Amino acid sequence: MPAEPLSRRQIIRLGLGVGVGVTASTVLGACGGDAGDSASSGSRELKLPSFTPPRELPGTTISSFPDVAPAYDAYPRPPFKSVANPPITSGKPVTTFQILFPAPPPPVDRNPYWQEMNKRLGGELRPTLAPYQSYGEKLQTTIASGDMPDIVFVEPGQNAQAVVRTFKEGAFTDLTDILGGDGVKKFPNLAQVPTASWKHAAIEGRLYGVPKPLNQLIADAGFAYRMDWAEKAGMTSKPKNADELVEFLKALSGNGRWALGAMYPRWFLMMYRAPNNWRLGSDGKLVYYVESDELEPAVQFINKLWKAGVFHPDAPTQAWSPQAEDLFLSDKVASVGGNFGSHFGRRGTVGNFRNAHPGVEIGHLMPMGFDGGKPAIFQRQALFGQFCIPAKVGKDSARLEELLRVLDYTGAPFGSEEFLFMTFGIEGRHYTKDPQGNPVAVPQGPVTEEIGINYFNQPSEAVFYFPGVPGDSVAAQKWVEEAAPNWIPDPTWGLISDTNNRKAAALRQLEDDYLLGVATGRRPMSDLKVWRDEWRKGGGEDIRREFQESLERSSG
Amino acid sequence: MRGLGVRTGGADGVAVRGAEVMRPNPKGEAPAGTPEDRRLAGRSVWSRIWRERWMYLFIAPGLLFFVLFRYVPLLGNVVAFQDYSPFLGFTNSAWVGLQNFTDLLTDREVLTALENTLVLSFLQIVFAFPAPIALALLLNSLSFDWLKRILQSIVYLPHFIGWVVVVSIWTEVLGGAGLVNQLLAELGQGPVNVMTNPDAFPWLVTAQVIWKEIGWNTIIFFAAISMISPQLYESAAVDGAGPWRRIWHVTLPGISGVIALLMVLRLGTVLTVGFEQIILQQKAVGAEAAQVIDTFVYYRGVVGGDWGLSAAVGLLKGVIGTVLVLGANAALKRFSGQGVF
Amino acid sequence: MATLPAPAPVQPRRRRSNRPAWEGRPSLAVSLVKAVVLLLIAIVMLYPFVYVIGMSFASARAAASGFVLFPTEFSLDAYRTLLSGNAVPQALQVSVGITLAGTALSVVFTVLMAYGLTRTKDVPGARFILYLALLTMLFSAGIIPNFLLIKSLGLIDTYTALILGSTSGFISAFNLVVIRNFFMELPQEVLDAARVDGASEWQVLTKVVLPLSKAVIAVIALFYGVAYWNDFFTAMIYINDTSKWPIQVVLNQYVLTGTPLDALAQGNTTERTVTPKTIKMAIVVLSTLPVLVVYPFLQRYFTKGVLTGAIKG
Repeated sequence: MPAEPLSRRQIIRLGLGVGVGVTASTVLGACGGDAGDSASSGSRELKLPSFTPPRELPGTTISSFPDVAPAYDAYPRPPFKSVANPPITSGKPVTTFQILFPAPPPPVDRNPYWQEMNKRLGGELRPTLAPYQSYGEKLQTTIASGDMPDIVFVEPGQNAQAVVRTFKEGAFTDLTDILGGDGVKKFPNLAQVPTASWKHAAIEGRLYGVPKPLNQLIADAGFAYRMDWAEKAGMTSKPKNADELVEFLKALSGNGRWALGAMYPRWFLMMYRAPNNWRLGSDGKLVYYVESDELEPAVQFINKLWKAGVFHPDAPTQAWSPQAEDLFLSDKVASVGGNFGSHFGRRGTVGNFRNAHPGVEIGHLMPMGFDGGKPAIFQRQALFGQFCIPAKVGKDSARLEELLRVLDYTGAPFGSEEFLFMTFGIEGRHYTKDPQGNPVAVPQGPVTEEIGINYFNQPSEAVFYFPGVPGDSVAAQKWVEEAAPNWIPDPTWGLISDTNNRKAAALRQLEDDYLLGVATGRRPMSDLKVWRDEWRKGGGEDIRREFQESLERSSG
Repeated sequence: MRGLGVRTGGADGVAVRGAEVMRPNPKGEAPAGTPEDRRLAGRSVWSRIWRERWMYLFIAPGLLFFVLFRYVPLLGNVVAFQDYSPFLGFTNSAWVGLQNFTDLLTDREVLTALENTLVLSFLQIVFAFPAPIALALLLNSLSFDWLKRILQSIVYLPHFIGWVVVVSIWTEVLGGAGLVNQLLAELGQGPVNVMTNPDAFPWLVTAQVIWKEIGWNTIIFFAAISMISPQLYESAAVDGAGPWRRIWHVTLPGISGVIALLMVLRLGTVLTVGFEQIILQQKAVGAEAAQVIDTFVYYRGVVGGDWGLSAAVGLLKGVIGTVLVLGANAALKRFSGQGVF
Repeated sequence: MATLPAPAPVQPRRRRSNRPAWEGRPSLAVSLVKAVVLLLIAIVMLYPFVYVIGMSFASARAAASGFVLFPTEFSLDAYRTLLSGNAVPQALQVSVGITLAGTALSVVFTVLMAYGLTRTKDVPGARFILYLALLTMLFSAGIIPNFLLIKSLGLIDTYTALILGSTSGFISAFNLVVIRNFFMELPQEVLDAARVDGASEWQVLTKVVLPLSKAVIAVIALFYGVAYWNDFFTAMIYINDTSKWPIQVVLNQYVLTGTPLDALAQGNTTERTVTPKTIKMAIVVLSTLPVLVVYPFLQRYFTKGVLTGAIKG
């Protein structure tokens, strides 16, 4: 029988501390604002591709914070053309390994979208589509077969932590020298990829792929809540510290309703300024959040909330986020967490809620410092996966360039005509334009299934664009701006620890057991120390040591 | 011949036909063929092979399948002695000798996983194994055929509902905010914690397995029961046996062969207690209560890419299973004269 | 040719039950207890299925507000989403084809091999082969070695791989051993008599053994059929051509429909049309339906007595 997947965002959340991502410049990484300036990053090795700012378009709001993406009201009319010539010139087909989230597309002879894609690329595209749920297994068998396609989508966080080691084993072409510095300018669209995305894509200081950029530099850091319940309970202002939060959430609970539909442990860790998985101390030593002093008060706080009855009783068992969303939509809980897909636009959770509850206002809540001070917002990596070229294929430099040109096409920026095609499909068939010129997808049906091969590096989630609800684009941007001054990265992004690759998923189970266990009273508070020991002895010490070594290797 | 009243010859199964004496044959094996063939019996291996050429013909395609599609890949278990990376392959991955095995035996998680696996397996063997037999007997005792068939078709339905839906339905009924607790709340009672209670977890899992598989597992017993000659029932009834005694003396012996077979095979897989069902609920009760060998292998072996470790676990499981199967078979032979192989 | 034992005399029909004359009436107490137990069992088994079916036909609103037995509002949205696309009907064809072909082939070769292994004392090497097969139930090779084998045989993206590489086995050692066990419990005298009369093993198998084994063969066919029908993993690993994907793989891709993840794919520009819950239930119904339809046809083989056929045993 079909088994339940973890939502992609859930996967990312699970991948905390486990992902391969960022920067060699971790020593300076404390405040995330140092992007955009590749030359000054602390590493001598990693020369990030230079950044070309996006074209100026009407209706754009550029954020004053570096690393926060622009917000767009409307799609430019007419969209500009960003690629002059089709990328494939050799006449050879381009094979890919891509992940598939929606229904499988029809084969090329019955698929106008695919045919159009071939036309635009100038050659035949032959994708191998991996069902998202079995992505990790299929990727590993593909690698093991010795016969990888030309372009391979690699996202370790999608149950594929095992492939991280293959980067260092030489499975994929090292692109650092080709794309670093001004080298990327040969591919003008790739040059517009935000620097943070490149930074987070690098592994021990080398670049192996073209990232699929994400604007979501935060995740699980925002709640949407129903203001009608809040007002009815007399809560007219947002809570500013832990005590006020308790009262606020209690007011939203009671009589068969609850304030929170899932446990959201990270939210509370942020309130107590715990490390974003790891913290790099001023002494240069890495400390895991389980070992930090902030863990205990944070968990105590969750426990206090649990006892106050603000969590739905099934919250600890939520295997994946749609259950929490269901609870919100069926009026059982007051709030919903999640990411931009949930909170903005017409089709996300909040959008669905609005459709069912016209007139109910939605408020947003960010973690606040428990003492009223600043929280530590956990930054997320600015990418979801990267498109890599196997070493064997990359040896032919002409072919390598051709493939990069393909990725240049598929990564066309917002506002371009190519982006519309990559993200929405063929105009008239898969989408129509509303009076303002924004694309509106046609109702789901056999036609929309044709697009399934389009999961490439298009920056569809790298900008804030929610045309269905006026003002949502800028609201989303403001949400990130609110977090930006306080966000902290995970210093282990981009570092490799062999033990971490092997054991992270298993050690993650400890977290569910102990953190949720202590929070819900299933375990006593003293078990936090047990967790610390279990983690250390179960591989944590090895992981720390290996990350430190990797850190030294990366910073030269 | 077990279960059938028609026997030839005396108590020790020796019969005389023609001029030949037949050897006593447990498990109903009789020498084949014409008297002439039997005269040739015991001659060279080759003549026996030729005599039984049909049998080899029957076996051959299946054998080819097993060798090619089952045994050739088994060579891949060599990674149990390697630090295998999919990119480096078998030839370039480093050899680590027995390290995967020693890692396994010194890993804290393995002990927990093993303990949980054995507890669950024990409960399943004690409760979930006999349950379908009891249900088959119950349904079999119905007088109305139409009722029997309708019930048969109902009880196997849960088998087809995937674990995801099963767990979600059980949560809606037994979960913290489920129907049962709502009912209890209305009656003024406190909530009952079934799905997040680590101590109740083994019982919960076993109950779920019984619920889901009991109906499906009756099918094979129905088939066995249908092979029992009604004359045996009739003669037992004539001899004064009531329904319970008929079950004890006719039905159960009639299906004892299948029961023994399934039991022995179940022992071979004693370390396999379910995967999807457990992984879905692991978060609710914590890994300490819920981790089993197969989930351990999934997190470390598949997601973590530690193929060597998972191959090592597979080999160990196989060895243990083999020992148990052969041992159970031998014990069966000793106690009842016949094994299942 | 020896004759089968004479069938028991047919009883004159009394009332509606099939109870033969020699069986006394069960006591009222026993009947009552039986009835209660069976009713409880039937409810507990049936209710979730009824709920699943009901939810699959629920409208978005009914799904959100929840219900106990039947949805307050009906809608075909979930089914429309699943069936109107190209993917599901195509995949249904694939699954039906694979299941029929696979089951037929698997049953044939399993029966042959099982029969060939029934006389391990007379057939040199048979015992060894039996253990060889048995071991495959206990040892597994892992995803990557199996994949490499299929690839080296050139079977990637072929329907052959879906049959020969099926997860539970083209020939499952479990099914093999079960059939063998049933064969060996048949009355050997009948088989011997046939052999004495000069029948070859092939004739013994086809003319004597198989007619007596309809029950177990029906059961094994059911096991294989369900295994092929439910097989998700094999297609996922070996088949890259999405038009060759069977039903389970395809249906699984619809699980995300209506979730925020799906919203991103649709550019978050339109409203949601179906609720994930109803889709999940519709998926269960669609993937289960064919088996439910086929089962009654096989059921009659193992509910009636085999040796006499007419009277309940």
